[in-house]
Amino acid sequence: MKLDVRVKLILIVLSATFASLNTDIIAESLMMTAITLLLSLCTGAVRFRPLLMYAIFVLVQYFVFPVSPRAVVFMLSILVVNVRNFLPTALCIMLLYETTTVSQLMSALTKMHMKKQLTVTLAVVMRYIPCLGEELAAIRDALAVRNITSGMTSAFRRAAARAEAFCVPLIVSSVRTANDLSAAAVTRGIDEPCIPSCRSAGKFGAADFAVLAAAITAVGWAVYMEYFV
Amino acid sequence: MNNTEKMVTKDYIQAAIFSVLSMVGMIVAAILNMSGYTALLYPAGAAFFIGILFFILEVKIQKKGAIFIFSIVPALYFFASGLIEGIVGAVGAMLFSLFAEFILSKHHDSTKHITIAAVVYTMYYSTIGFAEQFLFTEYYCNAAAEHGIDPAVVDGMRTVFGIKPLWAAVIAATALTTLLGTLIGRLMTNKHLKRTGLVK
Repeated sequence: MKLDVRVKLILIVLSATFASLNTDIIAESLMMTAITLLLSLCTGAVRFRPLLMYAIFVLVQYFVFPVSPRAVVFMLSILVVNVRNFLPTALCIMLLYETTTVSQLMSALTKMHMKKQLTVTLAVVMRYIPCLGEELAAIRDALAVRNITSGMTSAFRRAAARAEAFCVPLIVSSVRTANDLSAAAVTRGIDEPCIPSCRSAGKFGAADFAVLAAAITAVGWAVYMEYFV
Repeated sequence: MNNTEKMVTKDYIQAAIFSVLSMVGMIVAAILNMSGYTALLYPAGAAFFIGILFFILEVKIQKKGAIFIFSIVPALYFFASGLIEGIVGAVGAMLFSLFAEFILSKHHDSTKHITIAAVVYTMYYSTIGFAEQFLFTEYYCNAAAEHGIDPAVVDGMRTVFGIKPLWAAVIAATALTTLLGTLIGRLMTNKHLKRTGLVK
């Protein structure tokens, strides 16, 4: 199943709206199940892990917290509720991220008449996040090998040395990545003054309309429950 | 550096990457949101990381619009996190970036102006970012309880956010950590980035 990129972007907004308005755990569970199903259909692989994670958060909130020491509840209540509440939106972001290429995103944003600043920023976000993960892993490995804090007695100096050894390579690599990405983008014609054309940006299909209708219904229901009941 | 120069693709990409890094900093600082009490430290924690990145980005690009691009990813992060609060958050983050741009308008190479602009930019997190908690404490706490946060935790939040002078302390702490962040950014620039030729 293929969804239009614009539908995926609208889904993120609608799921965030639903999450902030809805206070009914059953409705939230249904929403979460529907988005997981949609993710499975769009990626072509059965995705149970997000639903399992959500179930764990619900179980912790409703069954573990009531019998836990107050200190534990005090420490974890906000975290558990906020993460649980944010999971449907996170899943919609994952849907966009896993099933959309950078060029598809750029063509969709161009079709939506977005400014170049926003188009480039979002494209860079999609392209840079996997690089960032790799960079962080590489810096962590290098830090482990170097053992930079040996001989330092002060805890503050050790922390400062670690932070410096972590941040400086990250910033240097980000500057170099920006150079590489801009070279690639200029080669692909991002600086061309004319409006970009794209063969892949099509019209909404039946699946797009069905998903949008379901999402709008869910948000409408949440609005009704919040303000009219 | 010619300050009237317009941003080019490379600058947009650089600012966007720093914007992603600032979001990572905000997510790291969000650990402080775990409890109602430590949540007061969140703006200060986020401002520290943002201060470092703000300084390095501004020294690197020195063009109008860089800080506005820098604010886009945090704005989207706020937007995805909730309806009215999210929209207010997104608009607020971008508005404060425009204030920072205004301060920097003809002084992109001035350390003093960059520092002031950074303080103004991060001021969003402690002012508008905490307005709902301190001005509409009851509404905020009721909404938190409706979403399932433990009643004892909500009571704790009600007590903390009921102490209005704390808001001034949060704003002061955020300004201080931003100053510290820009100072560290300056040290990093002088010690590493200038030597490697990445910043002139």
